[in-house]
Amino acid sequence: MIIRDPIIKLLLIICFTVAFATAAQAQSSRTWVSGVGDDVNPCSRTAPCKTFAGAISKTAVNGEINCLDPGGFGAVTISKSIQIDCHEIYAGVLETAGSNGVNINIDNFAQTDTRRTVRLRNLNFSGADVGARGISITGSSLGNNGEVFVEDCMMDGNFGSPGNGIRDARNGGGLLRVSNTTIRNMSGAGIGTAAGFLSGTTKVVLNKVQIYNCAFGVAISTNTKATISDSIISGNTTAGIFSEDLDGGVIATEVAVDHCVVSKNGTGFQASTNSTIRVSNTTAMNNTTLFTGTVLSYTNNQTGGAAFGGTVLKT
Amino acid sequence: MRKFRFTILTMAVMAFSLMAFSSAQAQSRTWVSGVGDDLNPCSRTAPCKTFSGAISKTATNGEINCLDPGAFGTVTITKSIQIDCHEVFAGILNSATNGVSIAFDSFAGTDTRKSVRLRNLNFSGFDTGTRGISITGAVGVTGTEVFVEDCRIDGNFGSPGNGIRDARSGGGLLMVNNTTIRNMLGAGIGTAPANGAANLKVVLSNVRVSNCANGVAVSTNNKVTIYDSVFNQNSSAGIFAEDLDAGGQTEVAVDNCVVSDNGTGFNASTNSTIRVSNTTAMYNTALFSGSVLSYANNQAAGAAFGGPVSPS
Repeated sequence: MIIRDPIIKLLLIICFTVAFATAAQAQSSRTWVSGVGDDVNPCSRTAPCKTFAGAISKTAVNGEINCLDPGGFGAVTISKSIQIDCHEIYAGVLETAGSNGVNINIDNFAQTDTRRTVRLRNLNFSGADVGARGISITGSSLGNNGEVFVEDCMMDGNFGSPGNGIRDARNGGGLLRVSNTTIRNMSGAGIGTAAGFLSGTTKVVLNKVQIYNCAFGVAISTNTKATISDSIISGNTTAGIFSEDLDGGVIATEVAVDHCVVSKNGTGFQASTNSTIRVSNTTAMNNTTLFTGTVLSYTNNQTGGAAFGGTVLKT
Repeated sequence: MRKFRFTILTMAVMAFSLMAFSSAQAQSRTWVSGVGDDLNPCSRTAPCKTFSGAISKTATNGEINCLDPGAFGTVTITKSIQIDCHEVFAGILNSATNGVSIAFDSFAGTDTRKSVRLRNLNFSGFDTGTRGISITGAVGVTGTEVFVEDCRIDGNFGSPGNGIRDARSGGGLLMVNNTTIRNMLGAGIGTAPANGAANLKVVLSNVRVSNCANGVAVSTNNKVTIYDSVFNQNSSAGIFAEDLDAGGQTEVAVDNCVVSDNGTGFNASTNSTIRVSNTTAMYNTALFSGSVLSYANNQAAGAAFGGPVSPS
């Protein structure tokens, strides 16, 4: 059959082009967003997309999204191993009322996606006073470890409930490493973990983090091993650093705090049920209460002479 | 006549192109851009597209800068040079290969500095990369220096899977500052000198290494200081040392670091010593093995190291 109708011909050409373009768009190792991009584009360096959500479907597992020029690139849900790296470029993520900036749901990662690794760099989250969470990490499976790296980010203004900077509710354990990041103005915890009972071990590593004006600076829950170093946790109304273990301490929650400033909080260090906080080389001043619970000192802290709940030997 | 005119024109164009190309050689500063072209002279107004395209037009001891964000490709370096993409995003995709290869054996004899400086580069192995930065040099090649600053190296699960591998046997300096290395099959930062190699000096400051086999693995005749750095969740060891030529010269000083969630925190293997101070070492499956000495001011929840060394 020879198609004579020029309109049919044109339609066929368009169909073919679109199909081809879709195939070509699939899964680049590197995609680009721009403040003046368009999500209809293939997200290439010369034809960038406009949002992270638009770019992520065109980015391969273990690939990365980069930023070409400054912009607000919108909230995104992540369900595969990826890196979003906007280093040297201003990248905003605006959270609308009651919503999160970046959702990472490990349960939705493909079984073939063995790394389960998400890397976020140089993103600026604005809750505009009503946002819920900057980064929300969830995962239910006990065998479903994942790794989340947050570097060089800013999170601000989540006074919508529950109001967290980063909330890690993985039950499968895994790693959360946050470095060189500022979190402020949250109605809940700046950084909080919320694993279920008998969950896997969540490893939290915070380095060079600043947390101001939240309910809790850091709130670490069940089966978490945390280190906090070189950080400032100040002006948090309930506690600077809070820990607890709610499933009977099978994997005890432990927090090591080294080379930090913990000041002007309600309670500086609050080691609640079945948890231990160990403090070293840290300045803890002007907290309403220095500590409650099992908070041990390596006897090298600066508190204006106030004592902690016990000592632990330097070795 | 028309044919003659055409020939003259062609020759003129060729001559001009050659002149332009010649004058483009050996600039002290060249530029790359995400929308550049390696046929360009790599000038500020006519930038190149890749590091490998720019390097041949950059003089020894010159530098390559970045005009706008882009992925600038892998490159082999055989002369003293600086690649500095500060304030501009610069990606290097090194899937199934190395990102930057520095071959000191191929440096000219007249290149007396033998110095390579890499700043603000983001290496992506895309899960299959082999090495971010690979440094090689034979025993006789001495006085070499590599500076790595403000870089990110990620995702090298292709064998051998290193962030930085330094296999110089002629000694030299490797300085790494403010750099993040993660997700490596092998060592985040590893050295591999030959037996009898000259001392390689390694200085790491404000470095974060996560989720590798070894965070740092230094070998024969290395003198290493590690300061203000974080090594976490490395499956074999956070910091590994060895000396394989029986010289006993590999020494590592670790100060003001966090070493957590690793298989072994500090592993001082054959003929090597690690000295640790002001460091938080928690949640490692084993705290240490071998000759790991403490200045008695570390935080390990009370666990002891292999022996003391006196502060002075």
